[in-house]
Amino acid sequence: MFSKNNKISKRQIFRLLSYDVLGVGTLLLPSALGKVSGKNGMAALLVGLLAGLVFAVLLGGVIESMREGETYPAFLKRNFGTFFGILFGVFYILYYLVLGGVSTYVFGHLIVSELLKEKSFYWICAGVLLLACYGISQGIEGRARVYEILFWFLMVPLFLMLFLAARDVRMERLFPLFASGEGNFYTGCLYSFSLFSLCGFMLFLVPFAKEKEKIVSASLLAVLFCGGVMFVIYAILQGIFGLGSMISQEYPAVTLMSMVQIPGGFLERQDAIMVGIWFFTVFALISSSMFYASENIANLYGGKKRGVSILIGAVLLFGIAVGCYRSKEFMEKLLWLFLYWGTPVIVTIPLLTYFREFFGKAKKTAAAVFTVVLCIFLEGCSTTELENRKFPLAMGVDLEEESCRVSYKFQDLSSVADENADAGSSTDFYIKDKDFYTAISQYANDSNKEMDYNHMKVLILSEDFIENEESLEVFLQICEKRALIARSTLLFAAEDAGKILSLDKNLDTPIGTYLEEMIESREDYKLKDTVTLGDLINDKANEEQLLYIPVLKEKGGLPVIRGYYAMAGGVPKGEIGLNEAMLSYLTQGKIEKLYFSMEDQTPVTVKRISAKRTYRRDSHTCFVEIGIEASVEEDFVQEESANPVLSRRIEEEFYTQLRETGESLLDAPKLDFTNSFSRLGLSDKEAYQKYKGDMEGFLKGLGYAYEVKVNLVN
Amino acid sequence: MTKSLAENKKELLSVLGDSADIKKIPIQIGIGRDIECFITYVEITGGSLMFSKSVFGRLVKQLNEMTKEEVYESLSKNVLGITDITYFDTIEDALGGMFAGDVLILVDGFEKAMKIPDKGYPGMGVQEPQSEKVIRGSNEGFADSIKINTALIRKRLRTPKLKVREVRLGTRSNTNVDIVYMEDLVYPKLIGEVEKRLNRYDIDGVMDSGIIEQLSEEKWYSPFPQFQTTQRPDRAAMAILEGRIVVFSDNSPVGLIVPTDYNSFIQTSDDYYNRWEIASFGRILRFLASFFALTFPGIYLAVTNFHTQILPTPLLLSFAAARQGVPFPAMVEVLLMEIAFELLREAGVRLPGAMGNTIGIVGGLIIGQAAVEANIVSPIVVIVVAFTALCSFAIPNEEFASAFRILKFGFIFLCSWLGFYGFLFGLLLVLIHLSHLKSFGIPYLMPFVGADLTGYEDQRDFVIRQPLFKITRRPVYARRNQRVRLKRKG
Repeated sequence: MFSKNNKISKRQIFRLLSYDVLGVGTLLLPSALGKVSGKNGMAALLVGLLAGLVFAVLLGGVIESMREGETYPAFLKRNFGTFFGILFGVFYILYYLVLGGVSTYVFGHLIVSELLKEKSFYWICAGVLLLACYGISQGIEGRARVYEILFWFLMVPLFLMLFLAARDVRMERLFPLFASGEGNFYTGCLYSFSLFSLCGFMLFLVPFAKEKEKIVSASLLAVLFCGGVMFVIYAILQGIFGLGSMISQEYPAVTLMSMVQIPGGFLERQDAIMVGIWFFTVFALISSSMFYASENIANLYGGKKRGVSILIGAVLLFGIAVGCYRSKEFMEKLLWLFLYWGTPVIVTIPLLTYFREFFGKAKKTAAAVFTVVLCIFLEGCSTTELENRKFPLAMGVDLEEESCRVSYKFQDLSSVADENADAGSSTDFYIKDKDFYTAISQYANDSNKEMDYNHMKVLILSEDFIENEESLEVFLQICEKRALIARSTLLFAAEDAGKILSLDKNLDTPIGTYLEEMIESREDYKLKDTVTLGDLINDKANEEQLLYIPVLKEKGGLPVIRGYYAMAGGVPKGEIGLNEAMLSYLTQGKIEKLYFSMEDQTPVTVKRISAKRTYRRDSHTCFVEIGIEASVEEDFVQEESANPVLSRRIEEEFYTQLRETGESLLDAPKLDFTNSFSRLGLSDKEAYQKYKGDMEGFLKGLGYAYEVKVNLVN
Repeated sequence: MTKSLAENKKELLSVLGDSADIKKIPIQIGIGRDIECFITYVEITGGSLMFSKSVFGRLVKQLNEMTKEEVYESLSKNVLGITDITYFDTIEDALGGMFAGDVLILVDGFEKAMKIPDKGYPGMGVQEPQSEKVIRGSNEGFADSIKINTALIRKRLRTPKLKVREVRLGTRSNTNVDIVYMEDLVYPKLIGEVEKRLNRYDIDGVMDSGIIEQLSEEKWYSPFPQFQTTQRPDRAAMAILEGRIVVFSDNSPVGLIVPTDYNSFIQTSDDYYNRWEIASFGRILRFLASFFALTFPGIYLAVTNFHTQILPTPLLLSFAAARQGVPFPAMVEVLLMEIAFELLREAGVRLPGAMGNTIGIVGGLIIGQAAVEANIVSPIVVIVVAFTALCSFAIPNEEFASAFRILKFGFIFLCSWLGFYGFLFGLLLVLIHLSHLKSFGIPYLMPFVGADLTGYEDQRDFVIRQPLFKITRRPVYARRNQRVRLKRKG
């Protein structure tokens, strides 16, 4: 028979601790770590993880010396006397209040920034704290069961999303590893360790554990598990966004969820659903912090009136969360305190008991170490109904006489309702104002409906707009900070974006869908990737990549791609031709299939293309050696004897075109058409660091060498 | 009681007083008709043919052929072999026996009252259960009579280890309540706990097992039932074989099974009669149904009012187009339809069978269609509400399904106010509540939680029902040393 014994199993301890670490960790650590440690962030994460494991092992020693069923505060009193016992207890209260308060702030901020933009932060926090009070008041057994049951329900979707996201990782963005001058590595280690030191919760679990001796193994497992997940998430985030873009985002992991496409297209975007993972995990940390803070508060007056302690804890957490919300400075101070005071003290106190044998009497030791630590650290909702929204499916942005013109293309809802109507029926509208933000805000105010940009398929920017640095910067900032337009929105360029949008009337599907389908079904060549708004935001921040935005023009009343607008390292470089872009994509290995005409008009289909870029450097020049191997299918039957000749001809043709294009692009718009710099970190760390921020210097000493091999197949 | 019939009779009549439905008949028995007797019974419970064909009639007939000494001897030693004769030493006990539906006989010179069963109270016999229908398996259902119900269990579990413990509840109704269990499988503490809870209140009358259920629950505020109800003898017998206890109340065709958990509510009898693939598929559907019965209208509101980015564009546009012209906000629309559906359900239950079915058709098809055409609701909301209703009907236990039906309204309010945050908030609240909820000491979420306690054996009969030969152990309810339920011979 079961009894209400307030005991939890090893599995429950593992899941409880995993939740505590994962939530805030995956939300805040990647950008924080990237900011302080740069590309060494991953290494710092691993070092922090290792330190966390060592810490957990040492805590195991402390737990061993605790008596069966003894609480940690009682243990401290027994070891260090009442005064220091109470003093340490107060430290723990402050530590958990700061941790819980900041977590509550993060929770509230996440909800109001990702889920409920119009709702009150205060109500959200109050609601979640009340819920935490209810959960805590029922005892640890129930709390542990909640996380036990939720564990795989949340982890499986998270792993699935990470698996899907991993396909888009660009390995070159992860390198170079262990580069010097890449931020402060040791601060990154401290950040990372602060997170994993949350396993210190295990000290308070002794009276609640079914088997005391299994607490440490469960905690070690939790730290390892969280470390693994954190490492994967960090690598994926950096590999997809690039360091610059990752650190510019508040919650890059949530942004990632908005970009991952689930096969089948049943869900357009799942970030709102995936926020659930952080809802539950951050809630776990809030309730854990509140629980341990209130346990310590109750312990101050003899372990009585736990209900009152919980309420006091909740009120204090609310106060801290509100303080963080109102003053960024206050929050930064708290984080500073947490990192540079809280973590060391929280590590020191249990270690004091561990090493007390080496230092003689416990009380004296405590006093001495406490003083030393002190000395060191003293230095230092309103709802909008569906029918009251407007869903622009495509948007064009043009610069016009020093002002910004924004054109919208909406789906006509009455035509959706009417089965017999033309599915492509749509309405359009344009507005002009001094800049993009004023224009869209003005339109939102003037319109009788709320604008909902979540379903926008296509964004067309005029070339003038792209070339105007200030306009583009403001536009991208608005898109990023306000999450106005989905990052997965396809990006196009045009001479006149509004004019291209007006071609919608000639199409049998909305122009957004038309352009999306056009990119996917191109006959002449198949690209492995498309350009989205997210790519532009990332590359603007990372300043490393070469990006080709398809340029649209009108042909026979239909929009067609006439060329590509090149952005190198976030700088507009002008338009290049289709053939040049195709060859550029070819050198980057981004083309799956290519239809090609020889000089004498012989059509060939190039398949199974593999491209390899290797780097060689002497004192002055950086050579990119491009090796291309492809299988060519003849579209016309040839004599077998002619095959070697044909394959040689194709190789020569390719070689010539590659050489000419490479040289001309390097010369005129000053483009490295092989997009090599971003991959330089993989192979030549020194060169990468030398030329980072000096793209011109890199291009000056750049040269190409080609090797083309074509196999003829029937 | 004394040997004097006059004294016993006087005391009996003083307690009984005047009551038109109680028959009091003095007779003489023995070969010389020299022994005074007094018969009393509740009208109807004694047969009109009592002197010819009934047990009592045959008894009187035989006693009339005996001498005075032989009569006393045969009564005291039950030499006539009447199988269900009961002797009482006090008038109060004797009356209790009579009110149970038997004939009470007092004999001059004999210091005990005797209760002899005759026709008994009228009641419905064994019928097919109205709920918990199965495709494969027995069609027998519990009856109103507690004796029939215990017999139906005994019919399936023919072992002396099956025990029936009887208690009386209700100071005025004196309702028989039987606690049925397998002696060697059940934790003795559990029987004690059940008895303790049954005796927690003094109540005047127990009309149905539902009253016992509500008075014995640990958490009165929980919408989730902490007793599992069943009308199926096979389900009850299976529960007993798992080490659980079944409680019957007289005049109720519903047995109460304790302890219980979420998983048990999702299971049906024919899960074990069908092949494991089919049973598992059914269970997955039911688990999903329980989730959607709770959340689907809420999710619809959260997605359409707050997080439109989740839906594929064509679907979203079609939703938006369907809402055009509807005068109410989506929440009011959903509430209207949900309340209309609940009304239809209530009307369907209260009306006689054929009319009840008609109401379903009229309500579901005609009113729904008319409401859509009149632009009172959009077609998608009809689909949402209908799907939710289907999900709630797929939950095999009515009381359990009711919890989801009630909580669904909470989700509607939360999601229409706070979107997906409200959904997550509600979900967490329900989860915290369920994780704290216990049924007689068993966590409600077993084996979602605590499966390690049984070495994960309970998970063999969970969302996936593994092949029967693999479910070798009883669940956590049974005593630790009695968990093996299946082993291969030889």
